[in-house]
Amino acid sequence: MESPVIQKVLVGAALLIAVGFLVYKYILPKKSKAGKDCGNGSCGC
Amino acid sequence: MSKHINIALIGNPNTGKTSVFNALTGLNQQVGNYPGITVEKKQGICKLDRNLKAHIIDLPGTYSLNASSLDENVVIELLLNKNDKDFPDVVVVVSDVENLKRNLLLFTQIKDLEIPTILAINMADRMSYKGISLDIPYLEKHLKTKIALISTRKNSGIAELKETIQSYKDISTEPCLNASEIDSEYFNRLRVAFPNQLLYKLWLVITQDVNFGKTNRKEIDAITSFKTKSEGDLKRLQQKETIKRYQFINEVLKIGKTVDASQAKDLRTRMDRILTHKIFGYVIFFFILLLIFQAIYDWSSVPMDLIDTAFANLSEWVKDTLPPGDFTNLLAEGIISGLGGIVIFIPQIAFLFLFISVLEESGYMSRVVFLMDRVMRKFGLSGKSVVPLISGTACAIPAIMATRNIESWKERLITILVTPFTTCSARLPVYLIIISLVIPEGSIIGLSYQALTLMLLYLIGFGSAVFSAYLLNKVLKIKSKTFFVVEMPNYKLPLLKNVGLTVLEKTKSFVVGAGKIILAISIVLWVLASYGPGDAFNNAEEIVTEQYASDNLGSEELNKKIASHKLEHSFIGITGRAIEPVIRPLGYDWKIGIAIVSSFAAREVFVGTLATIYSVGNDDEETIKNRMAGEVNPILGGPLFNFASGISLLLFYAFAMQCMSTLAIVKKETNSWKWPAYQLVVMTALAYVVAFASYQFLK
Repeated sequence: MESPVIQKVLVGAALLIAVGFLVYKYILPKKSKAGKDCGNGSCGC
Repeated sequence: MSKHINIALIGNPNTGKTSVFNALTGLNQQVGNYPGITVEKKQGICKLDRNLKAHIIDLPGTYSLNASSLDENVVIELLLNKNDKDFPDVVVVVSDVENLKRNLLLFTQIKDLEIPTILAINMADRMSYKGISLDIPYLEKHLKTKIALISTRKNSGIAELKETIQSYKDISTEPCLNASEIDSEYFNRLRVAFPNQLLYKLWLVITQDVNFGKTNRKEIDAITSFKTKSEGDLKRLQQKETIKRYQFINEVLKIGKTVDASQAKDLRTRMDRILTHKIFGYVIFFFILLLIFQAIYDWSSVPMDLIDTAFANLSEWVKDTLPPGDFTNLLAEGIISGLGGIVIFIPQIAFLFLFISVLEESGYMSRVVFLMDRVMRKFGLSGKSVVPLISGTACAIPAIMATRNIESWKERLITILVTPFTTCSARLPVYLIIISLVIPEGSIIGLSYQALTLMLLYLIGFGSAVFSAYLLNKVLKIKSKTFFVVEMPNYKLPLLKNVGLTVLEKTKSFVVGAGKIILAISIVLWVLASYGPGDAFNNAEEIVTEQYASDNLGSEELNKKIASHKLEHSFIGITGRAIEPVIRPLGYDWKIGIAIVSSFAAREVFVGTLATIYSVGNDDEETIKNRMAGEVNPILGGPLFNFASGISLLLFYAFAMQCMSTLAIVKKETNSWKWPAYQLVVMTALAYVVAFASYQFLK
């Protein structure tokens, strides 16, 4: 972690995962969740 | 020689069926098992007169003839098989006077099998306690039966029941419901295929795979050209049958049974009389709400301060311990600060669900639903809309899904459209942080201004939902009405285990569900706030040093100026300043603008976003609240979060449709983008106008 390059790579990886998660969560079409109990917060509300 | 008849005692569980059996048979009892299964079979002999003896069989308790368990199946197997040696000459359906409506479902089903059926209404001694009166001739006429009013506890009415059984041949075998009404086309085909069979009996055979002679459902298709329906379709028809039966029962009981609560004498009724009173009921509910919000504030302030300080310390520790660099800054300023913005609200959310859970467990919540039903009807909503609106205080998603039991499409649509106004738990973090910044800490008659403001925001949410429903009702011109039935559970002490599990489960799903999104958004925001294009960002140190060269600033002061300059020229700063003209009239700066835009995904992201933005480049160990309190309005000077901008923000969040998941579920439930688009446009416009008006008025 000493090297600035490693730190930048870690930041890049974290960013990639975060954006990937948000795209998966909000942009990609989902299969029907009918019947599944969507509790408080579990659906991102 | 005396004659024998078979009598079957049938009823819902807990109706006192076995007590009736004991009263009729005395000591002449035998207990065994049904052949092949370990379900208890009780039978006995009752001498009705010199020439008539009754063989009485006490069948297992069941709610309907749609069996789901082995012991319920025993009842149907007997009633459908005339060849059974125990097949009854007469059935006595034992019911409980307090739950007559539910009990009559089973009665009407048995009656439709065209077997002479007597209705024994037990626990008649409770009628005066409950203020219940029955019009027996009316009920007998419309249920086409003989009724015996009995009380096994007081040992009354048993002789009359025996007399009624004796004259069982006079009882009409006419059915209550015409089976063809369930689905005329399907039942007509059934009649043609099986011309000599009783339609309702065939229907039970088909729907329940019960052996009837040598015929079962799968063989029906094979024997004749008749094609039965799929399992899904049959289940839908079964539901239709139940609804039709309840419609019939409601009609009969509307006149046949009256309950005058003012005449009732038991404790539960006395409590109901007060808690659902048309004036005191609302006053008590209002004071319970006051207590809840006050307690939320009083009890959670200490753990909240501890969590806030712990996250500030953790952030500082990470910065001091890990090697300096971008990733360390991301951890300290982005991830830890962002997560701190949600973890801090655990105590308040846990307390809120603790109170809601206690109210539900104690049976009081059903009384609230009943109370609210009166209000709802005045605004054109169905009583069934109350449940989604109240459960919307947790989350709009399950609340909108709960509208599926509203039969009228228009009423359901209105409920779906107005439910997002209800204050969901995602709004809570936003409200709590803003209230703590802009509402003074004082109190009036022991109630803090902050708790009162929070309660007012909940009432505004509920009021907006009801008022919008009223307007939509006028616009959409609803004609159809649905009826609303709520069963009032008995009052009971809440079970600690149930309450604990609810609080744990709700809090966990809030933190884990929202936490993942906040974590992801915090990372993206930190990157956008820590990098920027062009010389203004990359040469920030030189530009600022040169700009303030003559001011002799200390290094700390100069570092703050550099950090502020970098933030302003970062990607997020550029975006924020681009939208600033739109939000400036509401009293917000570009940082709040970014928080509003990012919280479109989920409202609670707002606090995490501000925590991340204010942390970037800030070396001080500060709590979220202190950082927000220290923000200065760049144009007017003074605190950015003042009374006017704070109220404007609170109202913006009270009305805005800041939840992508809710829009997605509305699209799914309405099968159209039109309604979520309408919600988004109207609610955002309303939020903007109200926030604008309040800021301009208060500033």
